[in-house]
Amino acid sequence: MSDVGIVIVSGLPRSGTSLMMQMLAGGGLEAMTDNTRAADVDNPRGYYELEQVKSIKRDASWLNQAVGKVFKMVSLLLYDLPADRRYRVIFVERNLDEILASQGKMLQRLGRPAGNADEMRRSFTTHLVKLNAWLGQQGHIDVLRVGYHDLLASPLAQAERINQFLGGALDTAKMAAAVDPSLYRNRKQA
Amino acid sequence: MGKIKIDSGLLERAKLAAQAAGYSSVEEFVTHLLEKELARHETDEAERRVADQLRGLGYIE
Repeated sequence: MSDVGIVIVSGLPRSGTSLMMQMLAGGGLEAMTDNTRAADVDNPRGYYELEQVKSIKRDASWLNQAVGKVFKMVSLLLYDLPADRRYRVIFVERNLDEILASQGKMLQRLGRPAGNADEMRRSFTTHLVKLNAWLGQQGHIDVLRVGYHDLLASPLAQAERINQFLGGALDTAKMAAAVDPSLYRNRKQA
Repeated sequence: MGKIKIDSGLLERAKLAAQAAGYSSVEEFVTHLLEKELARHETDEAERRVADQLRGLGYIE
């Protein structure tokens, strides 16, 4: 699987990045995770996180072990990826109100303050606009955008899109089987 | 329309720069610079707020 290069699942927290990691791992791509943050009510199937990702600005040497594997990286840290390597980024997108609602609940459970909802909506929107413009200028980063709702509505079709983006070696039936619509919470109110 | 006071030397430099860059007036030039700088400042502030929230959630240091 090394010819797939370095694969990164990214997006805003609570956008469905853990679900994407489950799909890729189910399909046969090795996930880099240290299980430091254990599964909980916010992510019953686990977070699939790697602590080293947080310190990539200081130490990116671990990327040598990331070839042919996938790790999760929050959107803001994409700026810190060394430009001397190539990356395939699967960027998961979800309704911003649902993301903020889910983040708010998680912050509450952690006992930490959440920013003002309107201000945070504007701030995350500004962040995504800037990040997307930046990503479009990075010749060493290929990006596939996947909608969270599309994953739930048509997991096999999305698995096939993702598999094509990654070279076609994954088991798409197993990827699709990782999608559990019952975990879709924090729906936007109509 | 509001008015601001700036140093006369700075104004002369701005007039020369506006002319050299092809702006129709120094007002147009200064407005463009202010808009650009404010957008940068607002984006930096937005990403600082995003970083604070991501830190609270445990996704960044």
